[in-house]
Amino acid sequence: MSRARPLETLLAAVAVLVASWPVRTLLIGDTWIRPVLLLLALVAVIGMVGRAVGAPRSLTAAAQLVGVLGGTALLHLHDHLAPSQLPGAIGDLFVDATNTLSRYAAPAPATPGIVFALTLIVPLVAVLVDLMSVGMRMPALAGMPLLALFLMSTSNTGEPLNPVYFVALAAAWLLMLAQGGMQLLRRWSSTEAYSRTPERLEDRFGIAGYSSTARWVGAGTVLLAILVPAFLPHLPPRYLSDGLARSGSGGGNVGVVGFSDRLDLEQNLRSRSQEPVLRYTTSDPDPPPLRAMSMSMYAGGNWVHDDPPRERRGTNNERLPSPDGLGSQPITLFRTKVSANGVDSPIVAVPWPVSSADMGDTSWTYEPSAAMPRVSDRPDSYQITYSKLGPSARPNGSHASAPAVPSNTLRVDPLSADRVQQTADGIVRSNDSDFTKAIKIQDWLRDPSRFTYSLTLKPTQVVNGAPLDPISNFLVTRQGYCTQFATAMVMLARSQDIPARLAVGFLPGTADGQSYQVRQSDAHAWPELYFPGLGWTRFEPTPGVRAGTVPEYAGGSSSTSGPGAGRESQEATDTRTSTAPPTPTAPSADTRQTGGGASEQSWLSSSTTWWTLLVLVVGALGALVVPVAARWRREQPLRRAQDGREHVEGEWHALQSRLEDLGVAPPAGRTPRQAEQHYRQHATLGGEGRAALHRAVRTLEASRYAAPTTSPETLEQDADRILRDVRGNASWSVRTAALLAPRTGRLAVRSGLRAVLSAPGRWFDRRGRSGG
Amino acid sequence: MHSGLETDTQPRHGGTSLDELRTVAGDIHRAVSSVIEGKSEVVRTAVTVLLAEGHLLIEDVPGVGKTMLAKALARSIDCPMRRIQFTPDLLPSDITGVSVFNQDSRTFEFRPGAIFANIVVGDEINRASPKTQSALLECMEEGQVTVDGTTYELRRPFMVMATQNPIEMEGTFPLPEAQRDRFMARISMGYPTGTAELDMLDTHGGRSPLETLRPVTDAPTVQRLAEHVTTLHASPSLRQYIVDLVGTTRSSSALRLGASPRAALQLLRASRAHAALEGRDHVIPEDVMALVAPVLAHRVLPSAETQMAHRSTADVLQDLLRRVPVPTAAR
Repeated sequence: MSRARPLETLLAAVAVLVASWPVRTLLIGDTWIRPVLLLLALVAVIGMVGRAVGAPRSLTAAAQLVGVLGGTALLHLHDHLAPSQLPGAIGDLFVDATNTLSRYAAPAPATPGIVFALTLIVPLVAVLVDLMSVGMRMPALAGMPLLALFLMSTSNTGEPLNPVYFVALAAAWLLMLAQGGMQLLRRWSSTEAYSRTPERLEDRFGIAGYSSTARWVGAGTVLLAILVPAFLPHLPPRYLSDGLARSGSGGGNVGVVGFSDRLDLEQNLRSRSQEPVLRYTTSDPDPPPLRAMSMSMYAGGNWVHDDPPRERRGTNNERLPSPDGLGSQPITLFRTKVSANGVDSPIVAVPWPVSSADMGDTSWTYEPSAAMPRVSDRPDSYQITYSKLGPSARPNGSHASAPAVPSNTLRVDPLSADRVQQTADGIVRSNDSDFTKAIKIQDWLRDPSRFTYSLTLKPTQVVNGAPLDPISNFLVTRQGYCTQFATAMVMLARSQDIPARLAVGFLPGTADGQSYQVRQSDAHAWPELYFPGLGWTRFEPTPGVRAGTVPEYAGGSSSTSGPGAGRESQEATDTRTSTAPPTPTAPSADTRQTGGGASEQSWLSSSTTWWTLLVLVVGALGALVVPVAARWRREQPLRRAQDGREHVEGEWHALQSRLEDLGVAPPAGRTPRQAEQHYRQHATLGGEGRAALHRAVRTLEASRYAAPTTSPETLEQDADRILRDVRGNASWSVRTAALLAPRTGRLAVRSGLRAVLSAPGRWFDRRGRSGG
Repeated sequence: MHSGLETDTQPRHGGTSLDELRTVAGDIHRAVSSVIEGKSEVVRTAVTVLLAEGHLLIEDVPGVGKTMLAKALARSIDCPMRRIQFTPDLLPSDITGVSVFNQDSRTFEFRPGAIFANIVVGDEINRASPKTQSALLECMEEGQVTVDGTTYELRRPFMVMATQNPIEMEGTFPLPEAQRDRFMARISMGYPTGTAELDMLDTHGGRSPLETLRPVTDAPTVQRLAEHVTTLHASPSLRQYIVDLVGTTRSSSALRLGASPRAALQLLRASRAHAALEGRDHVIPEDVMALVAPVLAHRVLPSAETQMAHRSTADVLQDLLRRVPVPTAAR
């Protein structure tokens, strides 16, 4: 191999390329690949040249660094190479990259800034990998930068990564390791020696066996790394990134969640935590969702929550003024007692609109026009009285006569305005009343034949070379979850001049006896439309399993959905319509989905239990492997014993291995009397134990050497006596080890594994012999 | 001192013969030990050879009591004993006997030689001519003498105890391999320990203790016991062990000449006697191990490398003993 070490250099470059391969899942378009490839090749060539001329490692690495920086500058900033322009241009590109990162969720468009950043980062990692694996001959260490590069993709992609990326990277890294190992082996001899005899096959297949074992181990490890996580209960893949709800340390027996003040429409739903957030009891047979806040401002795919205007200090149990626009309507009052609260201040999740509130010792404020309390500290428990519109509630007037609503509740997102307007016009008729239009839009969105409820979003569609904005993308792909449905309804309503905003909170949760339990995964979003006489009114456009009940005034019926409707079912959402088992007694699509959700929910919780059970059982079996192997190995001769003599031999064997497990090594001497001497010296035996040992040895001796006419004896009692003595004098750690991980068992397991592992090597060997 | 005869092992099997054997052997041992002090192991080997019906070669420097041992052993048994002082001019007929013409009866009459005794002590055997030495061959192996075409049976038990001096080699005829092979065991006396020598000076100051030695048993008893020894059980695995051991001496690079099949035979016989002395009715590997050096050391020849390294054949045999696996399972 030449000093340039081209093979290892090439492997390093390929490994870096493979590690950056999953970046494809983050970006739309492959424009970044060409410059990255070019610079990787540059790094490799500089490395080889540097090593060929014998330059020191540091110099080679420095040259590679300069090459990468220069190459990046030439590729991306060739128009701004003047020293006065360069810093500004670089700054612009970085700003562009930052903007892209903050504005787009994966997959993001490959903007010049992103491509610039990638062509800088990937080759820099390549320099590091090249230095470690080739320059410093430490390919194992080079795994670290490779892993960092790989993690850049895995931690940012919204979806579980295809295992192929991992396998490819692992294979590349193992190849680097193997190459490094071979180099190391070759370096053992400093001078070259030539055999005077012709090369024997054993010489070659010795190495072949060695490397075949290595291949076997490598492949097995990679396979295990893929299979084991699949069979273990694991956290959701997006656990690390924060989402709709943020987990924290909670008081009481619920976890604390806070709400981020932005809601990104393009994000997949992230928090799937089953952590309880709220527990409450209510007088309402069909409780509404718990509202945490509202958002009116939508820009660039994000909802931004409303700034609370003037606030008034709240007094416990004092009746709050009616919210804006709510006139004289048939309402029912219900009371909800929250006994455990994990929602962080200042937000408090309440059924809306609140009529009166009791926050205990916590001071709270409210917004007079919204009937929505806010707290200074997180109350552990509180009581809310709220009103609920009856089925016959209808608006009493037109928007023209209503008091002014904030103008941003009528603003349609300009990016999607055309498509939204077109869609809305196709749903409603122009002579419909506003309320009818709202119900039509809701029903249109709820139609399961049209929309699919899924926590996973479809990839962003590219139309006319530009990626669609999130709302248009949802209307085109027709797949999403509550945020998309609610946003779509808000925009469709706004296009019909109905003021609308987004409310965020929690679904009513699961009934647990008298009380309800709300989990983080119950986080929900729904639209609120403003009608004169009704005020801000809740609608439920989200179909299926993870949605609230449709309000009675909006066409829902309180009896069709139980309180447990809305529980999230993560696993089955993608295939909701096909897997939901039809319930014969439930006529409507709504209940069918609800039933499906409920059954999936029970399946889910039971499957978790099963998984836990399985893990426990597997663990227990694993813990039993060594003792069982020890017992099996120990009693093997005893099982095979045909006559009295072999039986005595088997008992002696069992005694020896038991003593070995207790830390008394078997005798090096070989006759029974030598064994007796040995055990007298090394095992702590009492007088009786010694006598038993003497008897056992004489029994064994007679069994081995005396005339066969003598009646067969057993040394079982003597063996028990000896073992009792030795065990009594051994430390507890030795006894525990003898019980759980006996040495003979470990040896048995090890020899078994070795036999399995050396099988391919032997096979190669045999094949080599027969073939050569 | 542990003699091996006063072993703590209680006989587990076997009847009165074994008990009697132990008693008799213990008596002989005590009798001989009263003359040869502090040489329990040597005496024990000698008694073992006696019971195995073998012949004993005692090899050591002058004055350590070789002849004394031989005579004491012979004297402790009430039987005819002859002592032959080997000299260069000793004739074969002096050993075997000669036919003499009787003038009165006008017939040839056989005059038995020194060999016609139960115990024959051959002193300084390497001083006789090879011709005379070889006269011993037939007697030792077959227990009979043929003179002038007539075969005469020797007495039973029959044991030859020969001594030789390994230091003074001038004017000697070293025993040929064939003849050495006929001795069941070779032992060295070695110098006595300080205390044993002091005791010896005390007790042997006056008259020789040999003269006060009274026989403790007689020839028919010894013969009967020796015949009983041959019936002791040696398991197949143990016999295999002996074969393995002997085979290893033949393949070992440290030895020029390995042990003969006769050696294997005699090792088994000696092992049986050894087991009997311990009151066992079966042979165990320890018996074999104890006798490998005395029984095999004089039959094998060291290789040049072994000689250069100043290792004795006994050392080589101990190495081999460690290498040959002991039979474990009863086969």
